[in-house]
Parts: sequence; structure tokens; C-alpha cells
Amino acid sequence: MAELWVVRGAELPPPAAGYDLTIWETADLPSETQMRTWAGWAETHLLAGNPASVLTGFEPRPDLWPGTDFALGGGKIWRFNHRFVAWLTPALYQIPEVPRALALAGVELMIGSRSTSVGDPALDPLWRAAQANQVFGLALGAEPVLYLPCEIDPAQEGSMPLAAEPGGWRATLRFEELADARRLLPVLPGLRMSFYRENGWWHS
Amino acid sequence: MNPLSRGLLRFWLGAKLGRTTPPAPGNAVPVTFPLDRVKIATVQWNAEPVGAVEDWSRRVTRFFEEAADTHCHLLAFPEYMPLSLLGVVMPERTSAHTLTDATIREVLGALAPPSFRFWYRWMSSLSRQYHLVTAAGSALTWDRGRLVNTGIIFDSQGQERVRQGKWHLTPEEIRWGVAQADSPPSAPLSPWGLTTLVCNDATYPESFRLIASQGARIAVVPIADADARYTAGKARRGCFSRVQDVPMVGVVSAATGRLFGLHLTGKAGIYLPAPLTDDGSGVLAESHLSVGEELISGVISLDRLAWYQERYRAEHPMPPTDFLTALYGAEGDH
Repeated sequence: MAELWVVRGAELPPPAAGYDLTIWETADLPSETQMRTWAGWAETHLLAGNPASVLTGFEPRPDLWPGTDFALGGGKIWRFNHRFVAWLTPALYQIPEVPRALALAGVELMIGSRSTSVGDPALDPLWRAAQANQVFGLALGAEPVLYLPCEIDPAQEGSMPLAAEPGGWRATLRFEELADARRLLPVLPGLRMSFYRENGWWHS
Repeated sequence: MNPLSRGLLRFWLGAKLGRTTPPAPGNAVPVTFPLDRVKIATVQWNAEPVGAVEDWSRRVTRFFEEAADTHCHLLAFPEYMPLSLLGVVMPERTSAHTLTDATIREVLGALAPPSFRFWYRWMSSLSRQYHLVTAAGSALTWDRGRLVNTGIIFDSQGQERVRQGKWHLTPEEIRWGVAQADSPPSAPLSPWGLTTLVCNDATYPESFRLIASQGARIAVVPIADADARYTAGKARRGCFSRVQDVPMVGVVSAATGRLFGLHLTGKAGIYLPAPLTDDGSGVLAESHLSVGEELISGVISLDRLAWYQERYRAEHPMPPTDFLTALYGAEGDH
């Protein structure tokens, strides 16, 4: 289980304890010194990015941080508490092979800007990526939303609002439940890589 | 269940089905179909076991009549269409809902040939009688010693034009002895680029990429979701999601109701990439309830789809070949 703090606003709020990872979407990325000071004091991993998916991060206890790139360009994939996290633009989530590659490589949380503010979450490519790969999706914006496989959502809709907290929102991610979702609906185990390899659409 | 019992059950069903024959088709009539604006009708079907064969054939015929009367060009039926016919030899009151997986496996294997033949004959005949292209749904059939869930499309002359086995099985199907199809995608039916993918295949973006590479523009997805609790979220994970990321027309036909211990829910729907719908919802038409029987219809424009596909490809190009080769070329299988 991991507690995420999704920060609201243009300024970092005072550090707070009790979170495993802080996510901050900001137009102006903080300097490394700012991040080190804040995250070091709070002893909390801090990941900051802008809507164009330019990221920077800091963690007080290094764990393959900053991350690997999975051929998607540097600084898109990070690791915290032995979990891979990706932060991409919505356009990249809309190419289904990209989230597929991330999930197969072990990414369990995909972060992006929310591409649709009202209505059906299924119109958000990040929601579709979370469902197709049975991972968590964190859609940032004015009202951030957590996407999760329908199998582990009590409402079975695959989407839930975050709990409001001082300075932002809290999201509780039970990573261990992803295994339950994949057992109930074995999407990745049923992928049939060899079949698609033989009949690959990219050959034609 | 011993071989004699299986043989008797098969014979009994065959004899019952043999008494009900489809109407003799008239002379073939050349039918001209539109190249752009296609009117599609899709069925939400009450799949509960029927007590009499005529109940099944009468309801199927009624859908053909309604689709023809409302000037539709294409009619779609759901997954496992003939399964409710098993009710004529296994009524629900005989505790069929308590069958074990092993017994279900034997029953399905034994009864697949007569039920498949019956379904095939009726769908072909009615397609020709009503001059409708028909995505007949799917049925179990033996293919080289393997029981495969197979979707079929008939043209308006009643000729089989697309045959597509199910690639991705559900856990229930695996327990019941159904085998995954290994055949490559069937060539889509011209001029619409019409093809079919069976139910769970729509969970996989790869399946839509594959049929798109063959020229598919309309994908009919017959479903029979064994899920008592319908939610929009679960429903949107399949065909609806796929046509957003791999733009084409998605047509869902749904089996619903209680069937041998399963509780099926689902909605028939016609789905488009969201920008091609007036309200931006991606839903052109959808049935009102997730259970019961209904025919819905809508008109799609293949010209507008072609325009959108071109724009979409420019904005969201496929990953390069080496990326895809690396992704799907990994040793081992998932």
C-alpha cells in the first residue's frame, strides 16, 4: 500500500509526514535544490512534472532514482518503493502499445494530465490504458481522479475521486490488489504474444 | 456422461431442431449497398433457454423483419446465439444450472454440431430472404478436433463471407473445453470492410490493430458477458475503448438473461470515435437496459470515418517497427 499526496497549486505546501510519494503538477519545475530541501525535510519522495511531461524528481533514499527510460525518452519512468511509475502525456497513452509496453515492463502507476474534465472517464486515454493493462492511473488536473481496474473498484466503474487534504488530495494505492484484478480477469496472461508476433500488423 | 448418453443427447437435439426448417429462400436478388452511409441494426437478445424451437426462430425472424422494415443494411446478433436452443432438451427446471464444469464441457461438445448447423441454416436463409448482410453472432463448432467459438458473417445472398474464431477465451470457456482460435484474421467483407471479433477479443487493442491492418472499418463484436452486475465502466472497457484508440465503427450485440446458471448482462451498442458523434460521447446508439430484448439502429458514415482515420493517424502514429518487434518479439508468452 502507498499513500500519495497530490499537491494543489503553484507553490509547494509545507512538508507533511505520512505520505510515501508526493506528486506535483506545476508549470514551473522546481530547482534541484528546492526539491532536495523539501523532500529531504519531509523524507518523502517528490515527483514534479509539467503538463508537457517534463519531469524532475527527488527521493531522500535512492532506489534506482531517477528512473529508466524504456525507450520513451529519459525521465519518464521513475521508481519508488520498488514500484515503477510512468508520467506521460495523454497523447502517448492513446497509442495502446505504449502503455502495454510500460505494463509488461512492470509499471504499475501511470500518471498524466486529465484529458477530459467532465463526462465519461472512458473518453480519457489514461482510463483506457489503466483498464487494458490493469494498472493504476492518476489523472491530474483541477479535480484529479484515480483510475483503477474495475475488478478492484467497489463501484466497478474503474474511477474514483481523490480525498481532499490540506494542500491537495490523498490517494491510497493498494498495489497488491492489482494481482487480484489480474487473477479475476487475466488480461496480460491471455495476451498471446506469439500469436501477435506471427500475425503482427506492423508487417503489412 | 458416457459416450452413449452424449450420442443420445446429440441425436435428440438434432431431431427436435430438424422439425423446424427456415423458410425456403426465394431467388437471389441483386442488392446494391451504399458505400458511405450504412444503416446498422444490432440485437440485444434474451438468451434464456427456450422451451420450444419455434420460440427461438420466431424471435430471430422478428428481428430480421424489423431490420428490413426500417431499411437497415446490416443486422448483428450476439455471442453464443444457439445456446438457448439447448433448453429444448435441457429445460432450466431440470437443475441445469447446477451442472459441473466437466458436465458442461461434455454437453457443449456433444450438442455443438446440431445447434451450429441449425443456427447456420437459419441465419443464412433469413439473410437471403430479407436481403440483409448479417453478422450472425457466434456459436461453438468443432474445427480439426477443437471446439472453437466462431463468429460468422453472411452476405445478403446468404453466403458465408467472414468466419472468425475467438482468439482470447474467458476463464469459464477454458474450463468448459473451448479452444482458442489460431487462425489469422479473416478478410473483411467489401465494400464496408466488415468483420467480426468475438467478445473478449475486444479487450485487446492488438486485435483491433490486426483487423485494421486487414482493412476492417466496421467491427461487429458479439458478446455474452457472464457478469450479473452491469456497470458502464466494465462495458466501456471493450469495443467502446478500442474504437477510440484504433478508429473504426464498433457494433456490439449482447446476449442477456439467465442461462444455465450464468447471469448475462450487456447492452447492444453502436460506437464511434468520440469526435464523430454529435455529442462527443462516442455512443451513436445503445440499448436502454442491460437485460431484456431490443433492437437498436443507427446510420454511420464511412466517408467521415475515413477522413477521421487519416487525421488520427497523423496525430497518433503507430510506434516504429523496432519498438513493436521488441514489444511482441520477447521470448515466452503471456
